[in-house]
Amino acid sequence: MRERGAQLGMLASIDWARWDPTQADQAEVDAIEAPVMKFFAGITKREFLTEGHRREMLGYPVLTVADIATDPQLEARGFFAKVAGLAETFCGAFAIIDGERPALRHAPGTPFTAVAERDSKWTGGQS
Amino acid sequence: MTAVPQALASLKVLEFSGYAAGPHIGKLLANFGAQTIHVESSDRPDGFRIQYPPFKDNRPGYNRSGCFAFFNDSKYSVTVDLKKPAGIELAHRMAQWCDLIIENMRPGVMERLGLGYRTLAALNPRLVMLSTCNMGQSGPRADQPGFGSQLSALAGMCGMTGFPDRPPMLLYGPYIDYIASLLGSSAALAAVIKSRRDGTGVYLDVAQYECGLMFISAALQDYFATGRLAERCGNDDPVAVPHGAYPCSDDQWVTLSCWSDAEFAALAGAMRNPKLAAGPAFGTEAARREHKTDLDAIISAWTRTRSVDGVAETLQAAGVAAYPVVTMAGLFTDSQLHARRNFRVRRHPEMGDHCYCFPGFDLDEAPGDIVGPAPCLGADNDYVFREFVGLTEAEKKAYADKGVFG
Repeated sequence: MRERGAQLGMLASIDWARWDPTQADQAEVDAIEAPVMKFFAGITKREFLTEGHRREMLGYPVLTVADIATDPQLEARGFFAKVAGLAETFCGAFAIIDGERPALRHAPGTPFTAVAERDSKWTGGQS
Repeated sequence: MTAVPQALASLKVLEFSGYAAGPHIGKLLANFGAQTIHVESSDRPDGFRIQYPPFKDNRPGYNRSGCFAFFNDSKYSVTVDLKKPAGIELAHRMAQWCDLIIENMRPGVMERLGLGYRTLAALNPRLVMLSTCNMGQSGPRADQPGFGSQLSALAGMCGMTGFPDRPPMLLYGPYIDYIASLLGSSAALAAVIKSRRDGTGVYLDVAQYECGLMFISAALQDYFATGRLAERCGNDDPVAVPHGAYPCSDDQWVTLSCWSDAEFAALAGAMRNPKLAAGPAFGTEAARREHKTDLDAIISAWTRTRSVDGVAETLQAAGVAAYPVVTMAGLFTDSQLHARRNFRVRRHPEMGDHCYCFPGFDLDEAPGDIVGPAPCLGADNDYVFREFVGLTEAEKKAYADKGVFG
């Protein structure tokens, strides 16, 4: 907030090394939150996410499904997946295993080739 | 305590984890017999021991946290100072003892400590290791720290919770941690099965963010298919109407929903007002939605003159989905939970008799249990290092002299 020249209000006078949130009453919390809310109202969700990450802040923006669908973090990890022959986009497997996100399966009886190969590797050829 | 061998009795688990997501995986496994060791140090105990109430008699202390107890029953606790080279050496010996390591530190921390998967797998080639954190081990924001209470906002849940003209609502507690830990425990068990089958280890990267998205996958798929944005709609539902919470005579609330005209007719019948379902104002789903405010007022007028249990029983008997809004106190007197022994009392050395929560599933032939209370910090150092890790008395003394058990 200081970097951007935002009005700090009550924040400016607090010794954060000594301030104990468990001792603050609601009026004090409201006074602290007021300039913070005003500041956040002037930045975008993406900006908050980027700057929050850079500053190691414990905070996240409230994302919509549209935001999530284009989140670079998910894209980098290959989270969303297609299944051959289907137009839809799906959530992928929930874990990355040995550096690889398992492919989604087709319906039972029509194994996805990559999955079949992986299954074979894991089971040693046993079904 | 159980009298028959538990399903996971041969599974050896080591936790370098704290707070909710990592320890909850270990708790689920421990409840079915896994020997689960929670590794901390006096300098860096699990954050739940010291940061979050409730505390016994409202006095904070390492061994007085109800929150820690909730996620750590049935485990052993050891203290190992991982800042000391000898502490890392001891951790390496523990890694050779175990089948599964669960860690939820920030990405890169385990590697920097000398406890990365490649290092440990070289010592124990059949080792399964599960790493779970907010963002996962890779990606541009992998190292972002955070807690589940806020992560549910990033994962779309908060944006869909609340009323359209009011701010998004945060969910109660670290909701997403429970999704990630249940998925994580299934992944860990699958990997252990694989490891036992072929003798080679597995490294699992479980991002809590991605696990949370599984919970809203229908909304995501709808967006991908139609471009429609799921939004806050209070207690409304796109299909069911009525769908909401209604006041009762005993200052309690009942929730109910009708998913078809037939169910609404059943509700009207239970209210002894069958004409309600036959008239033009409420006879169809579209009509009920159009006259929702009037309908909610009629239902509220009926529920307000009855007890919450009376309303729920009457509606359930009529085939209408209805449940009381239960308080924390109500959970502990719920006959269904009591019959299934959901809460089990175990005596804790400092907190005394304490209720622990059993998982919502069990095995007929090898039932799980709350095997013991949550451990006091470092309470099992002597037993674990002698009986499990196999240290001699001389080795234990040497590590103690180096301050490793601090």
